[in-house]
Amino acid sequence: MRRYLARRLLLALPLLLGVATLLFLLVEAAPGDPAEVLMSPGMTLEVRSQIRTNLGLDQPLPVRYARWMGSLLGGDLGFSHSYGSPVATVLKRALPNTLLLAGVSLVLAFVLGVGIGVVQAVRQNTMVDSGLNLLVLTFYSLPSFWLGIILILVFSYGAQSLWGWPLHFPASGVTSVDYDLMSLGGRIVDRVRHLVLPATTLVLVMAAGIARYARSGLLEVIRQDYVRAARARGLGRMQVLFRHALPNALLPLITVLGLYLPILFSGAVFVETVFAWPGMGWLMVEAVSSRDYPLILAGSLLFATLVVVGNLLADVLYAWADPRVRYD
Amino acid sequence: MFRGHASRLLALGGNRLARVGLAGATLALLLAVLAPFLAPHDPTQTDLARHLLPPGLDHLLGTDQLGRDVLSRILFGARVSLTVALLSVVLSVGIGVTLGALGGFFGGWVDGVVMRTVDLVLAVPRLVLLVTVIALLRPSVTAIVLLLALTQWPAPARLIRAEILSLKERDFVEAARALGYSRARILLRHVVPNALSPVLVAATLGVSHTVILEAGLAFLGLGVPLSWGTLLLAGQANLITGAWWLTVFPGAAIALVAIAFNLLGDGLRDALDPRQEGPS
Amino acid sequence: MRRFALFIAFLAFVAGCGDAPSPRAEAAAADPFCQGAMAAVDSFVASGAQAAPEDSRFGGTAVVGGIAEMVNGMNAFATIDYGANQYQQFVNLMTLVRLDEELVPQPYLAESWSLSEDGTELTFQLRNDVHWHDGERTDAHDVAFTFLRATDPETAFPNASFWDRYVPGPEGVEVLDDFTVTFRLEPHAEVLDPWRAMAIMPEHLLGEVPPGELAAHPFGTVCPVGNGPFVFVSHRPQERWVFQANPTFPAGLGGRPALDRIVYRVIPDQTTLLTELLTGAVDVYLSVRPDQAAAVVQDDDTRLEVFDPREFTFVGWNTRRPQLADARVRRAITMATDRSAVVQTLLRGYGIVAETGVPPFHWGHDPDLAGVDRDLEAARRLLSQAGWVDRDGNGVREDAAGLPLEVTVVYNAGNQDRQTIVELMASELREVGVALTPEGLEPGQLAARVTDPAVRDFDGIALAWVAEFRVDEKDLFHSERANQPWGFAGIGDPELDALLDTLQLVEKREDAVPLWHRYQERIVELQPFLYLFYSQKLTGITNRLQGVAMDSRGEFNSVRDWWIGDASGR
Repeated sequence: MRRYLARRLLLALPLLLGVATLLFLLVEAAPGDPAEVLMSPGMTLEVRSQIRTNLGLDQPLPVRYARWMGSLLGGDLGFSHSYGSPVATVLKRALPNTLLLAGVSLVLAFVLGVGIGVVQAVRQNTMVDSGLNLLVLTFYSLPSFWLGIILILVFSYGAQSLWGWPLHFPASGVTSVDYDLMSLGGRIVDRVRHLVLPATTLVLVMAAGIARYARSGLLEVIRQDYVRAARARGLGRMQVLFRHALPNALLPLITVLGLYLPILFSGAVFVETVFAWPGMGWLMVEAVSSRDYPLILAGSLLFATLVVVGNLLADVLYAWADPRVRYD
Repeated sequence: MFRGHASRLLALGGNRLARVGLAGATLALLLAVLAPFLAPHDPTQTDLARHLLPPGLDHLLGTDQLGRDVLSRILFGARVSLTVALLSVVLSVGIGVTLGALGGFFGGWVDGVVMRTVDLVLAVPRLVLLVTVIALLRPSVTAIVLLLALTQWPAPARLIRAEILSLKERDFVEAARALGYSRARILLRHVVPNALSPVLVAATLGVSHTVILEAGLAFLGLGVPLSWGTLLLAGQANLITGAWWLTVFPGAAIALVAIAFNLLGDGLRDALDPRQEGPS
Repeated sequence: MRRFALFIAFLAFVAGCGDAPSPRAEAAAADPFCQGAMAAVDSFVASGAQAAPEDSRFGGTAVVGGIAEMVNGMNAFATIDYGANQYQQFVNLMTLVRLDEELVPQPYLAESWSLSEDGTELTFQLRNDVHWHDGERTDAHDVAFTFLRATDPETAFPNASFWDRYVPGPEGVEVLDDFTVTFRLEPHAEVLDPWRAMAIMPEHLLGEVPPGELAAHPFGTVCPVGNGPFVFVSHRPQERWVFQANPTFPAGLGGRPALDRIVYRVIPDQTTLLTELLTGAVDVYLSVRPDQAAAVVQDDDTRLEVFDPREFTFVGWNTRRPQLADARVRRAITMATDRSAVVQTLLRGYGIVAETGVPPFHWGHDPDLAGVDRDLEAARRLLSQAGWVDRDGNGVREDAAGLPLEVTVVYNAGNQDRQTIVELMASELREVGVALTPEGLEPGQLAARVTDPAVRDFDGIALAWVAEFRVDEKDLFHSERANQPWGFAGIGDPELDALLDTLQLVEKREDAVPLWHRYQERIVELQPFLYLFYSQKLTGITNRLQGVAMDSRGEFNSVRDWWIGDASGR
């Protein structure tokens, strides 16, 4: 196991390096630079070239690449001109927000998806099965930003302004404006309230896929001998399901979890934009349009690292949960 | 190509939801193909005197800010959106199947190169890649199709590789080899066709995924003119202010097509994969 | 159950740790400069703190929502961002002069000023009771520093051309005493204008920073130290800026503002932003879309503030293109475009048709200017006269050599309104035999294709911008600037050049008015741009926020007088 891990990690390094280089070249090749995207009549050629000089962009490409790689290896991610602070500071603010939203959504989507999958498997080929299938598919089939807007209209605008429901949720941001003045309890409630709508959006979108895996996984396990044997021993249907079938059916889902990470991070941008959630996806899109090269590169590297580490974790978890799996 | 699966494909007829999916997908394709004949109006013809009309007899789904007929725009939009979805899926499956099959069949360094490339593509944050490459190219159907294809091929590649790895050890491949057939011939004639069914399922599901993703690209300002994503977004601001028909109908079109292709994909999976048949 | 408890504990952990230090402490820790600056601000503000006056108007927090982050924040040396500039002028920093309702400069940081007889020396007498928020006094050295850095080429300040007719460098400025400063200049019109827009920056904090590093200095977005009515408290990128009332703001300028705090929140999606206004989560929604205006008006708890247009939308032509080289073609395109219908439908009437870039509020604006009226027949005639006739019967005109009259108009992809306008034009121009193709481009690519003089790969570009109070369109239309980024129209007209040269030099307004009128006529004749409309600025405001008066000077012009009408909530 340990050797396997070491090998995987070693393989990950050139991979990340490749990702970084690829993106560096792509971003550099795109027309427009930080001086050009400033659209204002006062921007003469002289001002533009001075801005390039000030940002160190007047150096030839290989020099900049070497310099960037050098400082990266030295642990310095560079300076983000569009945020006026070191890239590390910018990322340190955005990353926790994305991780919180993605993490909570993933856990809840898992719970919901597996629940639905179990019900579907138990009631296989009935109206319940098809009905649930259609329901989760419908949510899966709506573009997430649009689903988000609809949730906002119903549970924020409608619930608060039109119908006066006691339960309504904030439509944007991670915390209220007066968060800093709240007690600890108030802060937790405030954070959870702000999480509700964006997390619900992501959960609804993701649950369909997980439910599908859970249903087919369970159906496969149910047919296997030991489950039949357990049934034959006279154990109750539910008992067999939850004690024997489910745990085994869930194992492959751990790998699916790893596969979901990139989808989650990329998909988060839509939800982040709609709900004004200051996370990585939104940050990266803005960084590209303002041609903030160091920020784009460092952010992408971070994404890639998360994906690689996430997959690795899923494998380790899988091996830990299923003693039959050996990676040596 | 699917000789062995024909009978199982027929089994699709037994699955009600899959039949609904098949009907929906076919209908969407037909509507897209026949759009010029079906659309009651020119989708780009503006008429400011008739702007923002609610759904009615003249304009079944209403008109937009510029007085264009929403129904006609959705019909023509189907051509754009479905073209993007189908082409990019076909292309990504093509790339994926070729590379995955090569890697799976030949193994060794070929496999190593293919799988490292897969890892690389999977590790690049697709969103950043999409946004960056769009900044590089002029947004067009071709650009979007290429882009989606180049980022989506790893999934079919992995699928077919796994399938081939398990098929390689099966008797009929051994038999073919014993008969002295060339490796290429074995690969093309025997292994790939047998490994294709999961890919077919994945491709069908991929179409629905891509239709949704295209809408997302429009949200980021990277939409192709007249695509459903662009229509959906153009009307989004009006959801709260009254003109709901601008965004609800394109949204419904996206959702219905996505659901249809999904049901079809599920049906295909049930039909093609005997392991899924439950004892019940 | 135990798992659920664990989950809650996890959330508590995130909530607790995520923000353990206050955002300001966090920012300060990141940078030694900020550490010192913010500590000084805290102690100075605390020393100046006094019980708020016994007036129900004092207190409360107003939340302002906008779709974009304030790029470069409070760094006046770097910003070209309209929103950030508003906060610099009216909230966190101060300008030497500010405009009154008649747009006449009035004292602000400068108590008085005088221009020498020959118009070559401008002397400002500053107030002596304005302090930077860290306790230092704002004085003439700060003003001189601001001028020197802003005009230093190494700073690369995009608006350095404000001072084009000032004597550059140290020879151009002299500090007479701590509160008196003199500038040397060549005589020209509206000499005070730069000092209305440019906020004064603190020399004691930034004096040692090399000019080339000013734009990226943490002062802008991490730890600004201002001298205006509101003190910077914290800034979380993409999230919010918080400012609090400055207790030491000079009584002579009205003293402490009524609000305790003013917050700027970034909410990129406009549907979300509207929801937040209607649910009361934000008090001010900057730049309401015209199609959202009805919702703001109808809601009982919100009102719509409408003020006069400064922003105009246009299609700039690349007149180097053979299709667009002839002014008659450009005029025909304008004739075929139904601009008043655009104002009625897209803007819902919140705007007026534009004929030139000299805005209606400008004193040189000619109200009787003969514009271009919509006339399809005349447009067709004009195109035929210019030699563009549909020779092959395909519906698109060609010139004698067979070149079709096709133009592509690029716009910022993702800008729905721009896209709608260009699509409308495409549909309308078809009627007169002009094939117009809309093309949305990623913003960076758009900028590179249009404004790079070596590229200029475009036919037309749909753009909008905010007119300055001092109109100077040299960068756009003077033939000398044709090879600068903004000379993209490539118009070379001797009369226009002459007008552009003299307009800025005539000191007396009454002498300049006839020239301005001729200038506008010439623009209408040449049609370098298709001017579409001036759009009114719409702002949604909740009824709890009172004392708001907005006009073309800006949304925040009256921010010192804003007050919260109901004490509930924030």
